[in-house]
Amino acid sequence: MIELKGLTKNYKDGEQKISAVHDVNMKLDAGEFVSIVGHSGSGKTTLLSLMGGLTKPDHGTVVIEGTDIWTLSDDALSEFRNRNVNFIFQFASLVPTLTVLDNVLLPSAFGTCCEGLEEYAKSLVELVGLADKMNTYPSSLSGGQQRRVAIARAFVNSPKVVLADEPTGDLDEATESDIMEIFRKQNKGGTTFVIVTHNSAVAQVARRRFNMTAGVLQEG
Amino acid sequence: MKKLGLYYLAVRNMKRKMFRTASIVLSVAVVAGTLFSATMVIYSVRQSIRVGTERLGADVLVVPEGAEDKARTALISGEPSTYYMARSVLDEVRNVEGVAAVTPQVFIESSQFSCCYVGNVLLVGFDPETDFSVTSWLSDFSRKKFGDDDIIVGRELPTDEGRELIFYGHPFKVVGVLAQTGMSYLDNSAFMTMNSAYKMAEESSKKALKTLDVTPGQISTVLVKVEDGYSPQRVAVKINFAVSGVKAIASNEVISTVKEHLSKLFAFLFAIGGIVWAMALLLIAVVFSMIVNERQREIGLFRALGAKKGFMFRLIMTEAALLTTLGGLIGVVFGGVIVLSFKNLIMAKLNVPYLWPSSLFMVELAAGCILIALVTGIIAALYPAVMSARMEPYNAIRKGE
Repeated sequence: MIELKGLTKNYKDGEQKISAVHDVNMKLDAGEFVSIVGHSGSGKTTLLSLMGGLTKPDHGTVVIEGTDIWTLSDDALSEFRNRNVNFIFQFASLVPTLTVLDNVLLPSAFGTCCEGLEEYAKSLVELVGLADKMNTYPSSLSGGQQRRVAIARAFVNSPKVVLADEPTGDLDEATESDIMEIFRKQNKGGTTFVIVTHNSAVAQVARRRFNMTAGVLQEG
Repeated sequence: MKKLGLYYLAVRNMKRKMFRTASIVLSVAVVAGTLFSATMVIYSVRQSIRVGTERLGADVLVVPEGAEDKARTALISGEPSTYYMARSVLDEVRNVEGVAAVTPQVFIESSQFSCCYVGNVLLVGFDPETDFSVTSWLSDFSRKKFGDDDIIVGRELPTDEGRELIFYGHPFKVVGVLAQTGMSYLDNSAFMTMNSAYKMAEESSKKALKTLDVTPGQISTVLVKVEDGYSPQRVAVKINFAVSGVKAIASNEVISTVKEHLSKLFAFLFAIGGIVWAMALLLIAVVFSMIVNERQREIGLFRALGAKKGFMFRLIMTEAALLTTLGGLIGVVFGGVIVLSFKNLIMAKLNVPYLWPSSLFMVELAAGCILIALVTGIIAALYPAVMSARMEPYNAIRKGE
């Protein structure tokens, strides 16, 4: 379902060349739950961005559902992301001028829209425990609540793949546990998860675990 | 189904920083308001002079030598003034090559009109037999009906047809009211036969507090129509050469005089407007560059969630277009209100005639000003919009962190 072949990404820091991701190969089946652990700066977030079509690799291919995403035009890649992939970022990624419900519905502004989407979005907000905050703005929410909204948004377009970067980074244990439960439920529904984390407890939930060191990925 | 769209997101963005939004709207409003009001005043003054000179019906005015400035002032601003020359000038002018028709007019010193009218009225005596100016303004005018005690008044005089007016103790019956021209000479004057004017002057020593010093041998101006194929300027030169002691002025020169009179002022106004426009353009460009810079992570987020480059471009452009259109609209409304409210003061200070433009012109001008405001926003936001569209999602997210 997801196949990475020889994926490489280098950056330049002045004259110095930094290898963020080096010759990564990975094959995941649909509905897998994968964690990637590693130190800060080991290339985890860059790898996630390459997989999600957010930054172009220097070498290698990313094939999702049979589509080599880096052969698509920019518009086609945007459409592909909108339909098939969603993200949970490290940062509080909510739009401050939109309510909780509008933030969850945001991907629909770029193409995904169908009957019943608003009802589905509401059910996701309820699922993350914020039913009473539907029309609240992000500035009135705690960090944990904002993270829950971002998680609800990650499922609104019913993506085949969710790429999560430290999804429980700044959350307390109880909230972390709730969120992992939501992930498990969505995963049972067939969504593939790739989670980048420092948290070994979160990593243990995954059925397959990878380590990343200096841009090199190893399973186990 | 609630659909989040481009306009919804743009409007929500506008509400994000109200002070910044208000600053852009205000700067555009100043530009649009200045442009709207200045153009309206310029157009109105020109229109007024055009209508006024058309109504005057004369191609050339002949006045006593040395009185040309007074004559121009009287025509442009309606400021009553009197000057006289011998009636024999009329025949001399008639014989000049290129002259098709002549008619005399005599101006009588201004008079306080009635008990309640505070403005001055210029009393003009004309010859109904030869006149091609005053009587042509009244569609149903009959020369035979216009007697020595009849009077035609300009639109600004507070009276109606059929009423009686008394000037220097002489009663007159109002037989016609002229349409508005914007030129005070026509709008604030009262027109009577020359016989009436001389008679009123003669009676003034007995009937009025002030005695008029005008005799039947005196006229103030000769209005001239030129023959086909002759230009007013050329005939004016010929008259100046052939008739001594007079000055002939082509009526279209009056427009030139007003243009000269106002050109520096309007050039200054447009220069200020241009500077304000350039500053507004720069302000919008800088603000939108800041906006794009500030929202890098959000732009990255939008792109990650499936927004295409075109969407990001249109989002910035829509926001700029909405802001500048709103600014243009506010500017036009305020500009119009200011001109309307201070019309009389502006005209008094500029010493020019004014005819309120037609609704159609104002609508077209307003639309033009709003369009210019919109184009300003589009030009200013173009580069920031392109930059936002070109951002690579991952880089935008990283730089925004």
